[in-house]
Amino acid sequence: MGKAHIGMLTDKVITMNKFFGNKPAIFIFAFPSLLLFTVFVVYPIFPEILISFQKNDGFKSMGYVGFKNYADVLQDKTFWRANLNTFIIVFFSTFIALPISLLFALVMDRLSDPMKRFFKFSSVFPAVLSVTVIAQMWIAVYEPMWGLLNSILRALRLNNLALAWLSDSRTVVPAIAVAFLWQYLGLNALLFYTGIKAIPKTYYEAAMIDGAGFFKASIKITIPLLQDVTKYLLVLSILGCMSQFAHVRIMTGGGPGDISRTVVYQLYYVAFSTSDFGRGCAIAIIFVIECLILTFIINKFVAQERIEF
Amino acid sequence: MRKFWKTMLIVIVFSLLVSLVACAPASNNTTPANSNVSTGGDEQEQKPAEKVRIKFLSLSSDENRNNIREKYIKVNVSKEFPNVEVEYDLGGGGQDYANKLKAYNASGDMPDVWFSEQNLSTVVISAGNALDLYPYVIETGFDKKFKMKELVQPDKDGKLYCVQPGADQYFTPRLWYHKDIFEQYNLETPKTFDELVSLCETIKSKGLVPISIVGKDGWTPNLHMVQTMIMAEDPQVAIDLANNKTDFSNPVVKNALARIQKLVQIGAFADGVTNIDYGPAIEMYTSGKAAMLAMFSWELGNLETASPDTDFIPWPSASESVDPNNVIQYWGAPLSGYLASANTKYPEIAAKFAMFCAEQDALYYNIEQKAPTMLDTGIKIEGVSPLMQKNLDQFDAAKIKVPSIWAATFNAKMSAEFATENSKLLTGKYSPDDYIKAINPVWAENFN
Amino acid sequence: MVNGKCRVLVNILMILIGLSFLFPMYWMLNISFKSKSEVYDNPFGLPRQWVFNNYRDALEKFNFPRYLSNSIIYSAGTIVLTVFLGSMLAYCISRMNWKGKGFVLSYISMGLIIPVQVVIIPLLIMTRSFGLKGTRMSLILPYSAFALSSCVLMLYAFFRSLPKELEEAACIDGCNIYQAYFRIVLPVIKPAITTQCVLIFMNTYNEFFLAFILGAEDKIRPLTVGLLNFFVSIGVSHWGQIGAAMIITSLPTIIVYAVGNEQIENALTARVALK
Repeated sequence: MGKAHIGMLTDKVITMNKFFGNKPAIFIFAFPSLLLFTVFVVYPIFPEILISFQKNDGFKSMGYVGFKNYADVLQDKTFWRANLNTFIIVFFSTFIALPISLLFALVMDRLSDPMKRFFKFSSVFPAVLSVTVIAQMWIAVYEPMWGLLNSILRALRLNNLALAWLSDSRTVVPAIAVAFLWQYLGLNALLFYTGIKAIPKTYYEAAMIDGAGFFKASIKITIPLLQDVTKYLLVLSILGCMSQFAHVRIMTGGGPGDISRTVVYQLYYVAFSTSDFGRGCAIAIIFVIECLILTFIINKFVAQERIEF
Repeated sequence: MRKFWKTMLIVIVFSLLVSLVACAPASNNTTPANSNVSTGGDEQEQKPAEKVRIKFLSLSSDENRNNIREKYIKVNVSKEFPNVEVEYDLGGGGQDYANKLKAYNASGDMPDVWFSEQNLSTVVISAGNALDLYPYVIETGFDKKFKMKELVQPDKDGKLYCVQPGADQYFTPRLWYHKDIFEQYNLETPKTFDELVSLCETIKSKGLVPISIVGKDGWTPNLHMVQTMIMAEDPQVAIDLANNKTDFSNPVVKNALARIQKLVQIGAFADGVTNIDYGPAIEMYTSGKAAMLAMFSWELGNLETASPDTDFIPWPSASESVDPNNVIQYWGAPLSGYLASANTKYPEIAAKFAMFCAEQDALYYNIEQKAPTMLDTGIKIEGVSPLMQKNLDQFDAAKIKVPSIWAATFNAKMSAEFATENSKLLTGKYSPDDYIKAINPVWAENFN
Repeated sequence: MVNGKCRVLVNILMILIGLSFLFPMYWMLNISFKSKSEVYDNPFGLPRQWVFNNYRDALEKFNFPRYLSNSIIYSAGTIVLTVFLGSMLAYCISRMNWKGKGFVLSYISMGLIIPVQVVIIPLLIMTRSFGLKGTRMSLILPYSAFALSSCVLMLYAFFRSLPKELEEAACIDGCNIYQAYFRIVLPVIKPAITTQCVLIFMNTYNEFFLAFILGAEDKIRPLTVGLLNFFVSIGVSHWGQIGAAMIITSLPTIIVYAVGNEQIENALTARVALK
């Protein structure tokens, strides 16, 4: 290490700094994306806030009405019903669908290779199909007279359980939740499985020596170490549930009446069916706040520590 | 590395090209080939060769509408309006059409003449953008051609904004039934609502669906059933509603809602009715799974062809003072038809063109569809089936004719909320009181 | 210890569950060969009478080629725009020196929290005023904007893992930053770009809400909306035709999935694996 060498290193640092400090290049690289992003993702919030304070029919503004739109929305029984429905779906997703996916992943880990490949292939399959196709398929499953579900129930002589699933106010929201979540059960299982694969086998070997079976090993080792993945999936699936629209629109149109509406559906209905953009924007702003709160809660309370192996 | 950059470039250029092509707006403004230089040069010399240009916006997603425009309006316009050049604006249909019209309205720049349904027409009229056609209608004697005078009467402000062929007004809701099924089980057609209820219970016990209706988005209650149930007890209440003289807390209205609820609760409608759409509802009747069908008479032709044993009865009454044969609910709305712009440069021509279009419309219905219209075109309709004749005869004989409240008076919000409430009513678990509580505030703002 | 019997049981269970996920495929195929009435009488068994003209009838009324090409245009357009712009931004944030790059990173991450449904109303108004209503750009631009967040974040992580020697070597050879980026760095992260392409494709191809509201005109309609329109207005009571339309629509995705499912699975799980 002579002085010349150190000189060369410093030279390199200086050149690289110049190379990476190329201001016009930075601008060219960054500006287009930031422009696109700002115009279509960030900027729209501002006119939206403005319109939420107006009486607006979608074509022109008819003056500012202060907080009236917000008051109307918050006093609307249908809006609260929509929130309830949305949270029922979130509940199903978090406490039923994700655990099932986790269970699938845990079992998958123990399967033989051919079984693993088969299960991976078939369980992810619904996720690649179009949402329109899946929703229509479930309409046929839930059909009261000749649908799959009721046909099975009648074959099992459980006729009085053969309800009109999508027309009965007690069952319509869980029915939609099942149809929606079913599509991603396999995909989420795969994501969990990827996380499980990353856990070094040494942990399990140690556990086996200590005599732990499938369940104990899973609970004590796998699940805690999956915290990162779980958090990622939680955020993804909860945001996905909050913005659920297609299945409601295709399967029941929010019906019967407004019984199965979700928050996004209510936004669509108010803005486009009743031509009230002012209230629609108010709903949108409230919705954003809800999403932010949820994300914040998840970030704060799940997966506090970084997992290092 | 060069290759990669090259491929990227090609892909980008290709996508840009594609999107440039794709960027061409989707709806076309066609300038027609019917320039009016046809008629003999001598006649033209008498008038200065000044061609008037008017813009005409019409629906283009509907078979009927397209046929009317292409085969009747375009063909006959040069005869009636030799100095006029019409620019046809094809507006698509449904929500697209509505948006287009609303956009024109918001900018104040309406086409000279256009076609719109009631709820869109009211938006334009309240913005002050529609022309009063009444003076021109009287001047040309257009009003004398109508069998139903109400269609060309001015409104309470003395203005008439819309002219129409009056085909809709012949459509009325009926209770269609299978003569064969009734014979098979020895059933009697009901004359009162109570008879209808017990009839439904009997039919249900035989394993059939008593009445097939379109439950999706509350379609059947929306378009006629609520009003039918009101008129079964007291037609005057329906008229009062149409004129904003009463609201939904009227006891007759409440009874009407309760009747629909009762039908749901005794199982008169199929399971999962709230999800049954138009096509499947008709299918359920024509395939024999349902004994009766609640539907407008515009389906008469199709029903007859699919099920020759079809017959109909007028809706049963719920009060002794109402004779079912004497009361008719008719479809159509005073403001569904052709309107002209208040800001047009040629009001007389625009008004006359609007009336011309209404006539062409009527001609189409008379000739192609063999359907009668309130606007008398002088065409005699031949080859009408006995069932259709029975329908028309009963229609003409009924002395009390009430327009459809849904078509004629509801604004966008009222339509949407009414549909929501009706859909809930069809679950059988929604009380009329809750319904009334929910709908009255919306109704209060309906006529603003 | 997992004993033999238990293992057999679990295997059988998993096979059944796996098959149930494949059930939609069987069911669609099944009803597409049935007549209208047989669908009602015998919805889930094999067709007693094989009917083949459902496909022809459906194709007549369902403008599959147009909707498919629209879907592909949207997916391809979004992929190109997002990957091109997003990779540049990611590179810029991860490698170049400038103030505020930390801020920009958090700024872009905001896109992950905002669901696209939130801004639909202003988007509609904006597309009208920019004159984009009824064009395909009205969908491609918002799709790309929203896809930028996850693209930039993933590529940022990838870029960070690249050794600095890469650019140093290029610099010595006399390249400027543009050449270094396009000729040397980009090819190295090709796997990440492929992953992004797959992800963006899957998200855009199946997107419903934006397409439903902004892409409603028939000319620019993608498959998700076109198919729904077919179900609701044309095929509506003919389940045989509905089944045929569903198969036709799903065929491209099924083929792609069957051929490339390994890569797709890798792509879908890349985000998790990256952690």
